[in-house]
Amino acid sequence: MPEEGVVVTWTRLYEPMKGFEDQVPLTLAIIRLTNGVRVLAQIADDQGNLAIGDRVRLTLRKIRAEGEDGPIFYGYKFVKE
Amino acid sequence: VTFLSRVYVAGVGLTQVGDRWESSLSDLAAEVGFKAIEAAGILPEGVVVGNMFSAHSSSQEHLGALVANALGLEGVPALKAEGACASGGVAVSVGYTMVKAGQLSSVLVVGVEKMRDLEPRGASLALAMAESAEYTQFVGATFVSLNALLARLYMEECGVSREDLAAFPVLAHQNALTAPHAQLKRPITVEEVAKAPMISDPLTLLDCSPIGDGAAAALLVGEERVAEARSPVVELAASTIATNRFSIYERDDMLEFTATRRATEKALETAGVGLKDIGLVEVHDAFSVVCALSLEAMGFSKRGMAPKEAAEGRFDRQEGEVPILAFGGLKARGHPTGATGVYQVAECYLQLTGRAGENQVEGVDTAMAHSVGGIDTTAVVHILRRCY
Repeated sequence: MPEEGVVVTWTRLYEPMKGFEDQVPLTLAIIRLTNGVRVLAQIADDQGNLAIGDRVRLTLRKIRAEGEDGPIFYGYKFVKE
Repeated sequence: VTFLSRVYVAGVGLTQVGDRWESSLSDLAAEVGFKAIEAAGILPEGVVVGNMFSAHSSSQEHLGALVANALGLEGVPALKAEGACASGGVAVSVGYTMVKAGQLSSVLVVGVEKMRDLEPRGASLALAMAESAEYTQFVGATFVSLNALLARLYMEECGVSREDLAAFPVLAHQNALTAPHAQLKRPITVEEVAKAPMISDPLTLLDCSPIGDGAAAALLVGEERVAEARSPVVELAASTIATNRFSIYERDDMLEFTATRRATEKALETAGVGLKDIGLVEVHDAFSVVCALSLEAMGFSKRGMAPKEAAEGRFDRQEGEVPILAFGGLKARGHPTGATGVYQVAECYLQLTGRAGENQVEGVDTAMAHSVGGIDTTAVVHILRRCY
């Protein structure tokens, strides 16, 4: 899959699920990759200026951790270019 | 020759949606089940239970037998039907099919959900189970956040404002003021919706249906049992289920609710009626944006127009051309997920038999109930018709 795409729509979530409390507000977006495939992902390093049509690039980040002793989950997020 | 029975609603039972700490899943189901049986004066030969997440909220599965037992219906066939927030609608549809096929001549459908026993973050997780565990829950997307993504896209592409969307919650709260079984009985304004706490930008707390416990029941009978009914009956003239691609980002056009469109078209065809014949729509208004996109998919409004038409009064209960949410809908009657689809059918029954009290829509002969799981992922449409 391509690592670049554009923001189709986005939101900042203030009432998260269990395990995501430390990331509030959590920025989420639907991204259209350069091959046309759409994915749902978090936007990392949101500076508060995200807009529809922004170009974003894939990055590997920590998604969440299950407590202090539990496993750490990694996955893809996107950052604004 | 295959004989297909007509299907009728012979009695309903409702309880107020809200904080029902004193009642278990089984208590709530039995309360409304007995009410429906008593109203109809007919004992059911089978039970179908609609529920979304009792395993999560009450550590309880095996609901068919549990509810049948609570009602003292020894030996009857009983099962649970599930379709996320459409579970109640799916349960009615399963009951309809059993009666239609002539397998049973009377089926009790009970929708029940206990949500308030979950703390808020747990409720968020339970609701997110309607969406993909792998691709949605994993990245931390709650169900509200997915609807917020849809709302921003709708506003951007259709020139709809945040205030425009507020017309639906305002209408719902107005209609719930006089509804005995409603959870939220207070009027709200467009400004209050816009300024309420932000849950997931652009959706505020007042764009979202509340969390509550509730249960509703409907006793369905075939035509050979109608003469025994103690209360007036209403024909369940169509019951259809359709599905869309699972998550919104997989769809070619995210703003087109194809499951709702397909289920509506098929239901109208089965009942032999047109949109113009529908005098009341209990639409699945889980979120303001979902109410708008559903009315547009059904064909009542053109794309992007439903919120403005709502603000102009087109969907009002008294004077509107197409009354919706006569008892407050999901937003104000409440949305105890697996029970909601049965509440809608029971409310249509009350309207069509002239028993809706202060919430009566005048002159309604045909009503439509629309129940959705996920974001238009599963759509169930029922058409109910007055019998003369």
